[in-house]
Amino acid sequence: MSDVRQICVFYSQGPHFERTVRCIKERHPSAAVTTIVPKGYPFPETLRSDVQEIIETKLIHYSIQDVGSSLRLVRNIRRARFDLFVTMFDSPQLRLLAALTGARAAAWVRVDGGYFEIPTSFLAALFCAVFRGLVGRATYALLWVIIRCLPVRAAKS
Amino acid sequence: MRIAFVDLLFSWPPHGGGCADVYYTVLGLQRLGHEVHLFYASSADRWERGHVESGSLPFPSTRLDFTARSFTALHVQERFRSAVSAWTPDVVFLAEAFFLRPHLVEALERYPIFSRYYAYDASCPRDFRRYLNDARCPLDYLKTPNQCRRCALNGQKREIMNWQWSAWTEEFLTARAFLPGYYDRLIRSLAKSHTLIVYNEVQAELWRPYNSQIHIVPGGVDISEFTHLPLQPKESNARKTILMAGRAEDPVKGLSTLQRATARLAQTRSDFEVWVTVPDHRLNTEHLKAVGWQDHAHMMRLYEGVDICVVPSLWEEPFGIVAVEAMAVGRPVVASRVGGLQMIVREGETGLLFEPDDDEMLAQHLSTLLDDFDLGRRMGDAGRKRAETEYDWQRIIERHYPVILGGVGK
Repeated sequence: MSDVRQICVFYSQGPHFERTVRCIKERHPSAAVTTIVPKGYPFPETLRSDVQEIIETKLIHYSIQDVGSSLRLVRNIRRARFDLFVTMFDSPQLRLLAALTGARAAAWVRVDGGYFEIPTSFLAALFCAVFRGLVGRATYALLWVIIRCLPVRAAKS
Repeated sequence: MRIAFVDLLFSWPPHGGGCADVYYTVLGLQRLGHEVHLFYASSADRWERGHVESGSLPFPSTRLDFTARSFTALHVQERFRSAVSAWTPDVVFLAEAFFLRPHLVEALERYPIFSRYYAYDASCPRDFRRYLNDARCPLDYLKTPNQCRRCALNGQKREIMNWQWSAWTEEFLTARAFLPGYYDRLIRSLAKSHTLIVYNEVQAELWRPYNSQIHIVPGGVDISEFTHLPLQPKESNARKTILMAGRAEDPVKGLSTLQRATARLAQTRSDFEVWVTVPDHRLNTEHLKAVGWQDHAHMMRLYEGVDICVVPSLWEEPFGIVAVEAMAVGRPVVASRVGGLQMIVREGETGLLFEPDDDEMLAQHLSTLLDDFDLGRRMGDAGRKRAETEYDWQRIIERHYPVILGGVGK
């Protein structure tokens, strides 16, 4: 994507925020990078020259359950009309967010610097989130039964 | 002696106290003349596992790569068994691992294993803290396995249901820690380890019935990174500052106690300000200021600018590195009487202790130090001395490990 001019890097808790921004800057040296970080995040001084804008969210820990703040966040990102939306992880929630931002493309940067595109189809993201949720609930139910039906005999020390 | 270090969660730069502990232990033993080699797991799919900046380790190491799919108990056992055996160590030092620790003990049982515990993993499968519903949990997985298994599943409910998890839950599932057999495996692994190395007496007491060979080895700091700046008197109209450092947003760290103590103090005096390293500015009051998360370099400057450091932890803090860091800079420490903190702070000498959650006593201690500059300075200086003699990594290694390793073969 040579016509990428506006990029948004979305912070999540993890050790590779700096690496993510650098990786994006290397791929798109002339693009303007905006970062979204939680309020109070100690932004690395070494990155300031690579970043055009730092947006601090009121959310301290991003949570999909904080619906109001999440919607405000999505609305603000949509307004900025980014060409590329970048996350630090790949998860159903982040895929949904990427789809909702209205960015033309989305990607995530792995902790080792690997770069992967994320589909921006909202329906695909929703399907993925629902499917994983179902598998997760079924697994939880199975473990619940195992733990209750197969007790452990405590050892004598 | 050839010492193989095995770690499932090592990264450098570190993402937690455990990684720093491993790094300085390997380095220290190398300096003592031992041949060391670190074998660590790495997974591109997990930020917690094995992300080491190239050329950053001053000792030999081997990275064992895994993916989310290949990170199975059997595969982890096989990979570590073959890599470690090929290096032919005399002993194995089992460092960071969660639920797969017993599997690693089994895989490497032909060697004497020194198993280092960084929290209460063996006693709390929920989250290694033994802290539940705003109180210290009296249960112990080794004694009440069924209650603790239910609690563990409950604690990981959200991650499992969302089918997206942290390294802790990944190992819970990979190690099949929900099955009854895991419990027996854990008990066997405690017994099979040559020595258990722990941070404090609470851990030692919990696990002594399963292995009598337990050594308490504290954590530490690289003292050369900390400049001793003796406490300086403040101008008469300047406010004195009290700092709560670390992950203060975590409820177990006791910020609520400090908030209540601050409110008490504010009723009688206005010559102080409390700084807390949390990003939530909604916490700000006239006397309390959220200064945001701080990186290592900023943290040093913060310590240097304050008059008193507070560590009001509510859980049985295994060690309490922030107390040592404050002491290393020369600041008096007011800490709760829990876990490793009560071992670090010498009451009346390097700081003051109070019962966890007792905001009245905390306010009294803070008041004492705010009123008595000389006392604070004396405690700060004594704290620096204690950090130099007791908590400098190289000294810790020299003091403890010749004794611990000397027990091999006996």
